[in-house]
Amino acid sequence: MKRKPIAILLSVILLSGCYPEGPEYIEDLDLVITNHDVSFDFKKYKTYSLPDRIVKITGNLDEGEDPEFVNDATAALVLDGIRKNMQSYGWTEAANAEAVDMIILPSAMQSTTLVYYYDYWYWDWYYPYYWWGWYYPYPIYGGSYTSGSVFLQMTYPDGITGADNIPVVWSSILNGLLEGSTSDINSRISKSVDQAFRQSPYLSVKSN
Amino acid sequence: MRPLIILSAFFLVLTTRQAFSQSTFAVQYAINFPLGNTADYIGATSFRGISLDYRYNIQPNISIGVGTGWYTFYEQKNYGTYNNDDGSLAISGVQYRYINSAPILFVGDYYFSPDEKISPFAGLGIGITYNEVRTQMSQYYVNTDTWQFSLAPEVGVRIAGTSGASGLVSVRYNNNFETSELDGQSYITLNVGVMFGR
Repeated sequence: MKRKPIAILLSVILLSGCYPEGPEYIEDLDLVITNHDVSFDFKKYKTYSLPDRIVKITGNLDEGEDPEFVNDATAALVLDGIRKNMQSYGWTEAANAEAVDMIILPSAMQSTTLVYYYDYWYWDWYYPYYWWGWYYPYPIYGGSYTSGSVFLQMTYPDGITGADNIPVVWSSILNGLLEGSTSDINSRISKSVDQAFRQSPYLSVKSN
Repeated sequence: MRPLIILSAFFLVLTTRQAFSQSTFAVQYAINFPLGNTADYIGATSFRGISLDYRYNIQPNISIGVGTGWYTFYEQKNYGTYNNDDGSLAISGVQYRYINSAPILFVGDYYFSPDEKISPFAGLGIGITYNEVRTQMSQYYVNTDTWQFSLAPEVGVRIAGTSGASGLVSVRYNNNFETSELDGQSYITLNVGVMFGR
């Protein structure tokens, strides 16, 4: 029986050592996911449009109820970032949303819960990260934190299906913690928007 | 968690038993050097490991018993972009990689000079190893865990000390065979520790 305390000590060592270290800084948790339809030829298209506001996903909306929107400063940051990157890839923004090749629909969500949901009703959608089987880990960091996601979805209106679903040919999720100063958060959002396009070179419609 | 409970229970049973003179128990600090698929995933040497061994001497130069341990590999990858097979999906971020490996081996050892102060030995472990591979990016992770069949040859030296305790240094090659869930994993364990009993 003398050895029992050693056994308990070693058991504690075993339990505490499974997932050492990990993220140290807020920006270490920034994530950019992009997904696209590999059979879609973006080079056939030239024009796109953007809304002037970004929908904030807050939960279920009753039909006819207006959604909330992201504040103007953050929305401008995201929208300007999209414009800059689309322009660099050779796209032209069109004022008339009814006569464009692509419509980019940005939306955003802020959450302190550990469950994501996505229930906007304009278009059919799937969760890209389901494909890789991503899960939230155990709340190993303790405490609560606020995380935010910006969703960018490039829809192809001419591809509308009989069931009135508009195909999403490119999408991106920019995810990170909404912690730190506003300027830091904005800087990280801008970098993430740029990264979404950088890792999607197939969006370029420039003729080489 | 289940393997930890099994390991802990196993360890408690071993250590609360009366120790017989023919049996030994060893606690060892383990450094692990990844090889093969393991090294492809995590190249960094692991300095987080512990090995526990129990042996029963059926002859002065032959012992049989069980060995177990817990080894944690960890590596942080710099910010980078990762793609799926067909290139449709790309994900960018800082990636944190973990492997937790816990072998449970039945072991036979042969001591070349059992009565000498310094006694080299060679052994072979056969058993199973719990391997958990976790990739974390941001607040999310993917996790694969499985039990793999294992073969683990080992060589080492026992250095007799006083009061029935001996020093122990050994090198073990852990070869864990592929399953449907996980590629084969392999690494070399350098054990340094103390053996109680003789």
